[in-house]
Amino acid sequence: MANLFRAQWYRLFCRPSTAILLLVMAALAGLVAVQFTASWTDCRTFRAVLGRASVVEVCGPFLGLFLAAFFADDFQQGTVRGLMAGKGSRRAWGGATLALTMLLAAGALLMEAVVTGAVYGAMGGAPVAFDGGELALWWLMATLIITAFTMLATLAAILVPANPLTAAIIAATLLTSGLGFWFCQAAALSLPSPVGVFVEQEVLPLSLTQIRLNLLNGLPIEPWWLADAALVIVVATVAIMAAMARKELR
Amino acid sequence: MEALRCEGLTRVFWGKRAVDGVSLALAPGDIYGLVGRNGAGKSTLLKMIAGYLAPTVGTVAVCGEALGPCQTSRRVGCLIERPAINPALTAVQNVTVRAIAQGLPDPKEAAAAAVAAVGLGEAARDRAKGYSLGMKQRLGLALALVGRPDVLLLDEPFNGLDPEGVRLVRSLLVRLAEQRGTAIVVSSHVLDQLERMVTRYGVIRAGRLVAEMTAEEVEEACTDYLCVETADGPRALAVLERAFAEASFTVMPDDAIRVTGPVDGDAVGQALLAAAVPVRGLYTHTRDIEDYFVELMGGTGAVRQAPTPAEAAEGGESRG
Repeated sequence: MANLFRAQWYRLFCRPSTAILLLVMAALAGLVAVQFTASWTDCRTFRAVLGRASVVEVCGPFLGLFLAAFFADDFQQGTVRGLMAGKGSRRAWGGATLALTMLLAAGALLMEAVVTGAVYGAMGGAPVAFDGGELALWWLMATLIITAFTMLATLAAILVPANPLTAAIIAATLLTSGLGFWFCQAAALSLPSPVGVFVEQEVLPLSLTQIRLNLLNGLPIEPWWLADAALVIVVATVAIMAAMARKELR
Repeated sequence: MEALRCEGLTRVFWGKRAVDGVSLALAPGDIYGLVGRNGAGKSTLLKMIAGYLAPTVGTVAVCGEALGPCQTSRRVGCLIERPAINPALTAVQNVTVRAIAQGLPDPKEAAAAAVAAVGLGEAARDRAKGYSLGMKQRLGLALALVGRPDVLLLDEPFNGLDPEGVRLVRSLLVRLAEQRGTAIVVSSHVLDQLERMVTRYGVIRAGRLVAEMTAEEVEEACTDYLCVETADGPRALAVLERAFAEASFTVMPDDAIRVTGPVDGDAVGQALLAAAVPVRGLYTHTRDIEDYFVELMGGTGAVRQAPTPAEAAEGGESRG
């Protein structure tokens, strides 16, 4: 798996688009902070500033779409064949994908947070408290959410052999933008009363989009949020490994 | 030890047998030419050997190591159907990705060597999205060669190559087989290229390996011969055997005599005329490797249909 991870990492950073994406994300974070720092006077903690700057909202769609397309491209171009070298490499592909996604999501979030903080300070934002524990938890939670969305979109690419790239982009768009959540919510409303109410009040609040909204609104991070996202990641990774085990590599 | 052994490889797609019980064994240094019509099952067979596609039934072993279904091996290099290239990367970067995945100690150096071997030259530093078909093909070959595999599976390796490229690839493959003992399976329709490098042939028809022969056997079957058509076959044969001791003669079912060896057509005609043997026809019959394989493959055109019961009954028959 280490070789596969290194190969994917090398491939990722050889593409000019990766550097462009990271630059755009950093620029966007800076631009948002420049634009709105003066109006964030009610923020008491740095986490609240990150929430106002919509760091997860920016990082999620950008990174989710980019990474899902990156992995799907392997299937679209057939280059996944070149990565398969030896026993267990099909399953290892799932593990390497997970590791790369988590690392990149964590790195991109850190970059966004640093840029936001630097610009916020430079622009003379109101003093805020830094709670290291809370920030670490926020960082972990946001990383898990972005990773979960990316892994689900990558799974879609593997399960749709006809056009993996399109499948990944559609899935990533629905997941990271929250469109999928709104569709489900609208569908739940049209269901007969007890079922619709149950889905709306008991099922949808458990979704990752709802957790993302909670994070955006500055609610205290609860352990079950982490467990929820971790469960989705585990299920998606196991499904990817299972699908890869017998998939025809075109 | 055998470089590659496949036993009873079969792949069924929606009830149709794309590959049906193919068994192959290649020794190190063998160059095996896989010949068959479009849709005969050559690529499917190669994909199963490479571990890209699970066989319905059958086993594959590379250098004595049995591979599970869909198991790829570091010992196998492949170029199947089309070169799998990342257009956003340069040739060297493309091959380096493969070299890293294989766990090679110095992936960049191995990649540079593989790219140089296929003659990409200066273009190796350019992004692959601007490559011509031939350049992509060379890059695909470099991807197959990196890591010094013991077995190479090549599907139409000469596709899109210029004459210089064809010669380079051919000599490279021969060198790999002779010097490094790489066993190579080449599936190609370019028979004149196969003829110059292959040591053994296999003919695949409707998913079944219907004939296997050595290069010498094919060469013998494709030799030009003199055909003598006469009403008095036995007498003509006696005359010719007396007159041309160094030649060999075969009486065909229609009493025509097939003469092979260092014999001149005019001399044969004169010998028969002098002995007053009536001659209906005297001509040189030319059969090149293409005619031979077209005959073996059962005509031209694509086949997609399942084998008929009659074909199934004659399974494994050789018309060679």
